[in-house]
Amino acid sequence: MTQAKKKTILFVCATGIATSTVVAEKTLEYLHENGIDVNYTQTNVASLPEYDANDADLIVATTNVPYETPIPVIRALPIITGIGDQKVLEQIKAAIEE
Amino acid sequence: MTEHDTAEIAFDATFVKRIPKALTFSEIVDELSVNLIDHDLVTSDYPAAVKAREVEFPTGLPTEPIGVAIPHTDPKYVRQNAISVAVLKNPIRMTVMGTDDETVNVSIVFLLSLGQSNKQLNILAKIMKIVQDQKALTKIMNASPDEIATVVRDSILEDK
Repeated sequence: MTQAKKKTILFVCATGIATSTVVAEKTLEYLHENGIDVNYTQTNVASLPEYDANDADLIVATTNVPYETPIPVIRALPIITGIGDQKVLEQIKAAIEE
Repeated sequence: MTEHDTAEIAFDATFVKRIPKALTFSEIVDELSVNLIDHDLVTSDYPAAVKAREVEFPTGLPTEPIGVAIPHTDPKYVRQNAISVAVLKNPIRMTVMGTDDETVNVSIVFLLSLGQSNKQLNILAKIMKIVQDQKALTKIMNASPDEIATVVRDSILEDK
C-alpha cells in the first residue's frame, strides 16, 4: 500500500459548536483506535456552500444538508443517540479509506 | 475564574423544572428561560432564537423508550454556558434531528445555552452520556429537581 494522503473530515451541525463537537470527538477517537489519522474542520451548515471537494473528503453532519455538494455526506445522528453508532463509525472509516 | 473552571457552566436544582401540565415546546422554552434571563446568562432574545432554530434545525433524539430533545441556539445569544432541564409529565411530539418528517415523543428537554467555549468544554458530550443511558433517563423521570441536579452535575463534573 502506498502512503495515503491524510484525509479531511468536515463536521457539520446547525451552530458549528454543539453536536458537531460531540460527533468530531467520538469519530476521531474511533479512527485513532483504528490507526487512522485525519485532519478535521467544524462548521455550521449555513457555511457549507463555501466548501468544495478540495477542502474536505467527507462531510459528517447532524443536520440535513440542503445543498448540492460534491463532498460525500454521512449522517451522524446515531453517534448522538448511541443507537447504531458503531455502524455509522464503520461507514465513516470505510469512506475515509476509499 | 480560570478558563476551564466548571463555574463556567451554570447549573443547579433551580435549572430543573418538573412540568406537570401539558405545555407546548414554546411554553417549555419560555418557562426554562425565565431563570436564565434572571441570572443574565442569556440575552433577552435567546428564547425566540431557540424556538426559531428548532423549526429550522430540530433537536429531537429518538432514544427509546424515553425520548429527549437538546434545543440550543447560536452562541451569540449566550453570555455564560448553562444547562436547564424540563421533565414533562405529558410528552411532546418533536421532529428528529437531521430530518424534516420523522418525529419522536419527548419526555425530557435539555435546554443547552452554549457559548463559544463549548468547543473546548464539550458540555454536550457530557450531557450525551446521560442521553444515551436509559437508566439515567428513567431515574430523571421519577426524581425530584435536587436528585436530577445531582445526576446531571455528576455527569458534567466527570473526567474533569
